[in-house]
Amino acid sequence: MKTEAGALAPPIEIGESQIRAQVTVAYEIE
Amino acid sequence: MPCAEAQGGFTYVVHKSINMLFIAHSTFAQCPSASDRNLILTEGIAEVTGQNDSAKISIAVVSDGRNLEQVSSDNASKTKAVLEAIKGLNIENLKLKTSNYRVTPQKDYKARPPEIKGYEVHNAIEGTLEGFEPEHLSKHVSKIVGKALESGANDIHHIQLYIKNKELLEKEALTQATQEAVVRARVLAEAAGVKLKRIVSLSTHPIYTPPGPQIFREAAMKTEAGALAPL
Repeated sequence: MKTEAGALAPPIEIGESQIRAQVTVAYEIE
Repeated sequence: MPCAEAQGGFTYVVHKSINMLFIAHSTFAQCPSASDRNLILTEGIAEVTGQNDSAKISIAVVSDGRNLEQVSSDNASKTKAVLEAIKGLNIENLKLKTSNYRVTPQKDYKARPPEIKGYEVHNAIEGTLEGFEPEHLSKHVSKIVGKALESGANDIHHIQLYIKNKELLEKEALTQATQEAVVRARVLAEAAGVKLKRIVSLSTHPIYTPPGPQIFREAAMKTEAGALAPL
């Protein structure tokens, strides 16, 4: 299938990105 | 819409009075503030996923030949043609710039001494698209790469896809991770039959290090002494 930009235009899948968070909590206990 | 998935984290319990200790992370080995309190330390990890809305495209024109002036001129005209062709796509909010221009002599190392046998001229074009719907972004990136290759570019360095504004996703991930850590602390406290008094530390990095109990230190010392003992 020829695209508007010509035969050299590659298919592009945008996809997703991940954001990772790490939290440490310290509780004083009774 | 971003989706979130909380993942399991490490859990630490330090209870000085009854010498109960679970250690799930070896880096928590030295922290003076933790040694004089009865603490529960937990960790929460969350990953939040979001659709990419931006792209950085790096395209280059690489030319080589014996005559530097000719190679340089060829590279310049091709780079200009590529730039004009991409601009001709009339993509709104597309930012273009050239970068990483370099001229590299090609040497014949079989000759003694090595001789310059020609030159390679490299000029890169960086295109940036930010804040697009995925469907439009995909079409634009594809068109730019196709047009660049048609008009003289012969090196695609990379296509980097990313999210322009990560702040909301970062907040969401931090919220999820904190909730996970708090829930874990509550579960541990309930299981251990203790009450949570107050949060003494909340961090996005593990700053607490459970002190090594004396019994462990003594065992370590004995092991060291044993290792040096003659048979």
